[in-house]
Amino acid sequence: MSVIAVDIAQIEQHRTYLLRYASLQLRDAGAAEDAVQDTLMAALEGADRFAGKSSVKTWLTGILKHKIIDHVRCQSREQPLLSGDSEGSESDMADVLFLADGHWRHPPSNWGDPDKVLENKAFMAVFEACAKILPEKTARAFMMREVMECDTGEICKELNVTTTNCWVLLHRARLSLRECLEARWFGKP
Amino acid sequence: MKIPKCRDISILISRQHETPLTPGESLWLRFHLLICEGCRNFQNNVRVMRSAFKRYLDQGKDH
Repeated sequence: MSVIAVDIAQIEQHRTYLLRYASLQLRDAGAAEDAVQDTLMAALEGADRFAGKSSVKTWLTGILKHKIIDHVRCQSREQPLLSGDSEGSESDMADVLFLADGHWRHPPSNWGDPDKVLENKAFMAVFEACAKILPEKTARAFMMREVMECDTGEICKELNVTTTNCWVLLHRARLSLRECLEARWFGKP
Repeated sequence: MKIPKCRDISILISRQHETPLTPGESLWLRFHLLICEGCRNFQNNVRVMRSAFKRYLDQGKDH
């Protein structure tokens, strides 16, 4: 059996990507840096086990995902999602965004050509800022979904919430992120 | 059955990214989107945000 070795340079070049990935999920530069360090160390230790069946990036992301889930698990134990929720309930936020008759207070606008928007570096900076100011508990579920691509079952398990609650968190996250982008980017004259 | 409003429809628009909607929910959603520009925009905005996460993570990979 041949062993496919991965060298340090190959691993190191994915550091920025891994750091972005970890920062969105952990919202703490120190914790993100630690998770990435752990990942790179584990990767180097296990480099001879890298089977070459996936790309190096996919392999590293898989290791990082486990590190992040461990971290989230600890956080959820220390700070359960539903006790003392100071972020307001779903209905509170919906009351701001929707009128009593269920219509949008300010209907979402047309954002134009997505490719053009996403190519804009200034937009991506605003996107990052908006993603990082989401309420913490909401963000935890949302980043597991959008960054780590976990399914609802995994999110419920890790955050110890019901399926319905998980959907509520994700809906709330999308509404909040959208409001922020609308206000800071699309709504500008 | 009560006619769903934008508030209810926005829940379906979000949830369809997690799990398939029931046939009834799909029908309400499609019907509502035909007549409501705000919810059509919300649906597109959600898609843009999902793509933005991927794009954000991959920024600078060419350097």
